[in-house]
Amino acid sequence: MSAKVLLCRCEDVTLAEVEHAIESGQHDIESLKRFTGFGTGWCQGKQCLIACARVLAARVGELPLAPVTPRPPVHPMPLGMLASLGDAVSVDRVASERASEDEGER
Amino acid sequence: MASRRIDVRAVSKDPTGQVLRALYAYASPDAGAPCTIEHDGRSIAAREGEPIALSLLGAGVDTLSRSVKFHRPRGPMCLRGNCEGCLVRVDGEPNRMACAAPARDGREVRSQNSFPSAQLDVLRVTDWFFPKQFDHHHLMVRYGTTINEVMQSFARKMAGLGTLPERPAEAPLPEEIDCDALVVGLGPVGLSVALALAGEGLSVCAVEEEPFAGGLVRDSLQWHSRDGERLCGAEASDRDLAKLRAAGVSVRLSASACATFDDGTIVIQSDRALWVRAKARVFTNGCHESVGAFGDNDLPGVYTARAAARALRYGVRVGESVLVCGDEDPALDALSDALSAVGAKVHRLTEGERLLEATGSSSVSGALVGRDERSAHKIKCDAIVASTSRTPAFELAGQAGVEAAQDLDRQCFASWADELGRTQRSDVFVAGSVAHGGRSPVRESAVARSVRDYVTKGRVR
Ligand code: FES
Repeated sequence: MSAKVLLCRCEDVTLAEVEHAIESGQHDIESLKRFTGFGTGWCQGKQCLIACARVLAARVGELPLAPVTPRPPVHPMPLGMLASLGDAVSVDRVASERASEDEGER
Repeated sequence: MASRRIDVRAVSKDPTGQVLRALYAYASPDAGAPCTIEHDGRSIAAREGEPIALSLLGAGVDTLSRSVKFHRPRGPMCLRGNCEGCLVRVDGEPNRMACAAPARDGREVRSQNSFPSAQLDVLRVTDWFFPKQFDHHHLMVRYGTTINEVMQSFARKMAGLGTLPERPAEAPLPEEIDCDALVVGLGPVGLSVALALAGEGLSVCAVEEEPFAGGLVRDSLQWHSRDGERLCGAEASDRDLAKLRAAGVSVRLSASACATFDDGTIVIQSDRALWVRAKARVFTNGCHESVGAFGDNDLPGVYTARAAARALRYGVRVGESVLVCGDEDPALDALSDALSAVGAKVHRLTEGERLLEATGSSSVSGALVGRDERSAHKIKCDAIVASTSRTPAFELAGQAGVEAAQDLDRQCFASWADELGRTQRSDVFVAGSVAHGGRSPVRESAVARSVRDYVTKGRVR
């Protein structure tokens, strides 16, 4: 069959591409994401994360222990609106929180 | 293109038809004033206020956009803001989700990322050049410098979503909200948790990304009972919402929580940002839906079960001849009955058969089904409803620091919480199908008490 099976619609990542990435050694979900680009598009992985995790599980035996790190924004938002928040949100504080959170990441 | 509008008076009187009749009697798809929108230069009859995606679908237009790399045809798939298939340019503004943008007289809707139009995009050749995948890791190194440069500049021109807006965006001043508890997601669980929180005497702000409350109940094609009465999902949900408002909860609809931090949560409500500072955050934002993996599963005309049910609510049937398949789900039976009740021909798979491939060039014209590729046979249909298990929307709670863990029963990830909705973050709670083990129905009153204990005493444990 010549049909493509799309796992990540937003970034046009196919099942063949994910399988190829796994064969080339991307055996954890974060590397698989970086290699194929799944989950980096408009919907931020709402459809494809689990689809790719299940393909990975079928190849390596089980579902990853954790999904990829969820990062804001989870829903697309216009930059102008983010900018409008200017004074309300203490950007320094938010940035320092993110930094301390990222340090905690494995 | 054939109209897919349902004649609401001609709905059959069988049991499922009765639910639809009740739905239409309560919220008629004909209620909005007739209006006209423009789509790529063509006039389309619409109803004021309905989602543009449904105006177009109602007029038989299901190919709305093209995919970023392969320029494959795309159309609305989820009808609830979870995919990319319905992105269009509306009144000069790029990347509007047609399933969320309301129709208004004279609105101008254009396809983006395509040449000359989404229906006929010559860049589709990209799809045929790369029959399996687009390997950007090796593509550029395989060719010489000149061809590489040409391809790079071409790729740069064609990549990205849409083109810049005609006018600079105006962002009104944000609204700042302080409250005891923020509830994100007003499906059935969120509605009852928010009500219970108000009952505990807390000040509550509740946000829901859709323009209505009720979640799956609202989109269901079954009866629901409220106050001893038998109601359709839309009426039952509105009753619940009215109780919430009467209890003093500040309800925000069409309000998407986009990012959450210790200091506050960024919510986009229509065209303005909200900055919500809450002592406690409660995530009841449910699940994502998808259609699963099969050949050409991204073809316009392939829908989730939820999307097909929602279209019916707006008086549109997704096709005249519809294949309904997917993981075992009682909702699929109700959907099949409802599609029959509005005159569609419904196909189901027999035991052991599965959907192998959607067929059609720019939208669904058939499906290849069978036990395996050798025994495959073709069904003629103009829409496919394929549902897979729903998977928890753990992302927001995850941003707040709640661990998303394997949920092996459902083969997915879910936000980790105990049966009282408590997580490893003392100020963050989760309940409903987003929670590990799909703790639903949760005891909403118990979750509300955990939140109250935290807000009033500062600590639960
Ligand atoms: S986002 Fe509009 S149809 Fe999925």
